Formats: sequence, structure tokens, C-alpha cells
Amino acid sequence: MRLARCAAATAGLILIVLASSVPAALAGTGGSTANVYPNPSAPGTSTTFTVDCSSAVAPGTCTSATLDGSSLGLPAQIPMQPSSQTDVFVATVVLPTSLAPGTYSPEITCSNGISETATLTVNAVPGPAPETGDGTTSTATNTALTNVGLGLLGAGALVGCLMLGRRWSGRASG
Amino acid sequence: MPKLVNGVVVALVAAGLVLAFVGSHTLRWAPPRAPQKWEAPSRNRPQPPAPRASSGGQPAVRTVRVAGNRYQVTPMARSVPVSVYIPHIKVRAEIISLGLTSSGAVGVPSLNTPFLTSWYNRGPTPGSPGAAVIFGHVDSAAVGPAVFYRIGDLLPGDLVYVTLKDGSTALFRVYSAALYSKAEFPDNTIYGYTSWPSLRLVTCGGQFDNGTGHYLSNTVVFAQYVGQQAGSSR
Repeated sequence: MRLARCAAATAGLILIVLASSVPAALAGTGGSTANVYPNPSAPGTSTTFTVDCSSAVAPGTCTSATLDGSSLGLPAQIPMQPSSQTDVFVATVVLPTSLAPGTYSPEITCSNGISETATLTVNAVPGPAPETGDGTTSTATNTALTNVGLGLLGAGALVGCLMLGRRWSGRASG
Repeated sequence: MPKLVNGVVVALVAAGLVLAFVGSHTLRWAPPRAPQKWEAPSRNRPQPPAPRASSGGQPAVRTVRVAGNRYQVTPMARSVPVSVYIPHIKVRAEIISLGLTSSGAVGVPSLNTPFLTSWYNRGPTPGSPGAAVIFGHVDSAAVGPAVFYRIGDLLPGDLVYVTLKDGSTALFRVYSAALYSKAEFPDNTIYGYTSWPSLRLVTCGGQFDNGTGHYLSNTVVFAQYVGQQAGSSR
């Protein structure tokens, strides 16, 4: 009697373990993957997500897939387009220019119950435009020419002074 | 005799006044020239060259001959750029690696080192897929015209050589240039991803605002990757 109860309990346990492992097997063994290109990307950049929803148990059963763009500042349900390959879906989005740099993990849900997480690194884009110059060539005046002019002025004044001095001394003596 | 001396004095003073006036009212250097208008850069994103079928069925690495050297038409491995050479405007400059400043602006070399250029190190390296960006000053009080003073003179087809730390050289060919208002700096056009490697040279240009002490625009030259030369030293 006790033996029978034990056997029943064990069988039940095995069933539970088996049952819980079935969805995992369904999701895990189909080689389903999610890819992002380019990766790393940057704010304002057109970025393509690709998901392979194929399941080992029922290949070719996926009819649609949606990308959850909420973490990226995009709609929560972005429909993905079917591709030339069975079970492979693609969506191209433009990352918001306000997106902060970092690593993001948006979820992709397939219609056959499989879900995948894409991992995307977003690089920073510089904020203000670069400051590359101090305006010297747009503002600096021709100091060399000015100096030559001042030199000539000085020379003229000097010669003039000497001449006046000589004239006065000439008058005094004459 | 005194009449002659009188004449000389008058001439010296007059010439001196004119030269001093002209000198203080003209610019010592010409302001940086804006690039000529070419095709819109955003519509002319670099595309990889069409693959050429090889006899063996395997995709062969194509080589091109440019200015006497052979270049392999394949993207390069990531390696930090160390120097840039632009024959048309006789620029040969060292490249330093800079990221972002604390205010989120892109780092540029100090105005005290006006002949250095900087590579934006959060983006791709030259020769890798994507747009590598190199900054240089247009002018600096220390020297007048600085390293990128003449990039507005570059024309489509001009060559830009970038030597990487691993000793290889990436060759780029200029395909476009534009003057962009700093208020509407097109980040995506400059930094945005290109599947075929590309290069952007960026400096200041346009009107200078004496009030803020900044140029109001940026001159950007766009170049497309041609190929790589391994182990060359330029």
C-alpha cells in the first residue's frame, strides 16, 4: 500500500517535471535567436532587429512577431515583417535622438509563443556641435602692415623734427 | 634742399597713415573658405563596390591601384588611427583619440596644439564599417591658420590617407562636403552608421560671431573608403 502510494507520488513528480520542461524545450531547441544590426548603434540611427522564431517541435508555424520598443522610447508593439526565410521576421526602427547611451534588452514575441531578448548597445552621440577654431583668421587684422605704417609715420616725424631743429638753429646763428 | 626734405617728410607721414589705417582695417588671413556645393551627402551614402566574380567561385579580395600603391578593397580590423595625410592641401597631422567632454560635447584638441587632429573614439575606427570622424581646428591665435584651415578647398576625388596603430593605411576618397549651421548640426549624417566604411573631416567655418567667440557653422568633408594597404608607413 505504502509502496503503491510512493510509486504514484514519484510518477506524479516526474509528470510535473516533464510538463514544466516541455515549453522550455519548445522554446529552446529551435535555434531561435534575435540579432540587431548595427550593434552598437547610436541615437538617430536606423537599426534593424531580426528574430528567428523557428521551433523544433513545430517549425514553420510562426505567422507574426512583435518587437517591444518601450525601453527604447518606441511603441510597445512594433509589428515585424516576414522575411524570405520561414519563421524569420525583421523590423527596422530609427532610434530616438534622445535615447541615452547604454545597453538595452528589448523583448521580441513570436506568434507561436516563443520570445527572444535582443541585446543592443547604444553609443553616445555628441551633443553640441564641435568648437574647432577661435576666429583668428576671421578677425585678426593685418598687424604687420599696421606696424610698417607706424614705422613710416615715426620716421617722418623724426626727419621732420630734425629739420625743424636745424632750421631754428640756422636762424639763431644767422 | 629743404624743399626735398619737406617732401620726404610729407610722403613718409602720408604713407605711414595710409598703411597703418589699411593694416588695422584689413584681415591678416582670409577667413576659412566654405566648401563648394556638391551633391547632398545624405543621398550619397558610401556603398561597397560591386563584387567581381572570380574564376574559382570563391569571392576574391579585389585590389585597386591608386597613386602607385595597391589597396585591398576589404574593411579593416579595428585599430586606432595615429596620423592623417591629405596631399591636395599638404596636411600631414598626428591624430589623438578623444571621447566626450563632461558637458557631452565631442572632445577636440587644445587650441595650443593647433596642428593636432582628434578621432572620435566612441565611433568606429577608420576603415571599419561605419563613419569615422576626425576633428581639427580651422584657426588658432597662436599660429593663425590651423590644421584644417583648407579642408573647404577639397574636391571630389581628393585622397585622404589614415595610418592606423597596427601600421596599416586606410585610403579614402572625398565624395562630398558641406557647411552646416551649428544650431542644426546633422548628427545622423555625420555620425550615423554606414555599412561601407566612411570618413568625415570636421572643422569650423562660416561666419564668426564676435559676441560668443565661436564660428556659427561647421565645415564637413565626406570621404568613402577605397581600401587598405598593409604595413605601409606614411
